[in-house]
Amino acid sequence: MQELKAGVVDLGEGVAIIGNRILIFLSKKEFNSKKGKGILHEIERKEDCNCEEGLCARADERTLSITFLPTMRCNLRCIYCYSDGGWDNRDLCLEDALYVIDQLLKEYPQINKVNLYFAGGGEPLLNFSLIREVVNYLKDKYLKTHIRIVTNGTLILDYIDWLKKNDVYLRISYDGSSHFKTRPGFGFNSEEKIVKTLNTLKDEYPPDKLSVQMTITKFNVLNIPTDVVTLSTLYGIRTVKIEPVQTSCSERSKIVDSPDPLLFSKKMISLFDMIIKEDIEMFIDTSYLSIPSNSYFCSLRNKIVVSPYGLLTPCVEIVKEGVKDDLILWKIDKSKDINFSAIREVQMKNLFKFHYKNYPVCSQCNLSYICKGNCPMRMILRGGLVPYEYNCSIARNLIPEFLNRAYHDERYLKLVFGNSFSVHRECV
Amino acid sequence: MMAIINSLKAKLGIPMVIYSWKKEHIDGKVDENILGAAHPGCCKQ
Repeated sequence: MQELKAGVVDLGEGVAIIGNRILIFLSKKEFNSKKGKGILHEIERKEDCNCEEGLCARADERTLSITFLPTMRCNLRCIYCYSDGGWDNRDLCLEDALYVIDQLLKEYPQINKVNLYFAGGGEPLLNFSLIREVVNYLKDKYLKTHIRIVTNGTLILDYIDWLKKNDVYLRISYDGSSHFKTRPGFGFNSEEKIVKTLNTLKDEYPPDKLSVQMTITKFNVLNIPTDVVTLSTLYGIRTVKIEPVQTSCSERSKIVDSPDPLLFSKKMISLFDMIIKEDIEMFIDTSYLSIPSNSYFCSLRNKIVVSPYGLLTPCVEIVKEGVKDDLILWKIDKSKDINFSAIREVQMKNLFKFHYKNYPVCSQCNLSYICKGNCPMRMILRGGLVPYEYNCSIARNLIPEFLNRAYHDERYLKLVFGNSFSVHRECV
Repeated sequence: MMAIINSLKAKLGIPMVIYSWKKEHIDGKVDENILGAAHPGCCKQ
């Protein structure tokens, strides 16, 4: 594994230095001074977090982190679906779900909290009984739960009382002005349904438990700023995750209408400017702007996915055999214990090589601490450490523009990093 | 992290603004609601 170097970004008047869990802004004059050059030396001495330790399915020593895909059934037919939701009626078997929980609790007896993610697959709330039973099972064991559901939003009102009672964090997929085209209902108008849902949630659901996921295609890229600001002004949504659609392993996503990367970057910056100018309270979450670090790799440290096909996998895009079988962590067989050493072996042998530290393009790039090579599945599904120019293009256009604005106005940092950072002002 | 920041202060003493993150934020376990900010993946969930 290569060591990444801290990155220097020329911002015109100033310079940004991006290190591991640190971001420094200073004027170009100061940077070019003898002392300024010393900054790089200082921050490259910092410790490097060991991401190869294999914290399987744990967010930390006392917190399990499990993603369940409750079903492959879906009531929408999204044109870009990464898992061909709705083409198969398979549900996750409750016994399999509880068996995996039991096995993890046996492996990690010190656990007192479980982060539960329910995602697709298909629409998770179509198998609500599994969600409810899994949550009840953990509560009966006196374990704290933090529940998150990624949903298409069409069934939320059917279960809103339970969702509120259990403090469920909802991420609702909604594509704004292109929703009717990109996320059609299977025999019904999904846009009418989602608008009704958002209107109800505005009055009846805690705003800090709601976010919207907006998938960007060529059909809505031009409307990113207005679509997102509308979510805030009409429905009180404070957190929006925005990603351009990309090809996955599913049939439907093999031909996708990805937006032009330059246009996507430009519209994201326009969105940031609009939010700052209008002083809107929002958090924008996008994979191209992550907290600077050289350690995190999404699937490896803390995620395990339980698929309806009886598999444990590192990613929601791998749900069944025949996609990328050497990344399947385990096949569920309730007659024997899960071998967690074998899982770590698969991670070490077949998954860690896709850490962005190993991408030649990232080891040379000054922005890699922030974009982190983007989603490793893009590289994995392409079959090797081949640079993915699409994501690089967005990173190279978006990150410097973003940093340049943050150099002048700290509110831009808060817009994408929330209040996660500390600020130290030296001799300013 | 503070050691690095103090070292920067002591050795350099030039005007700059330093933003820093605790290790916990990188693992997304401090504020799960901003999980995506630390996580590049899960783009299309």
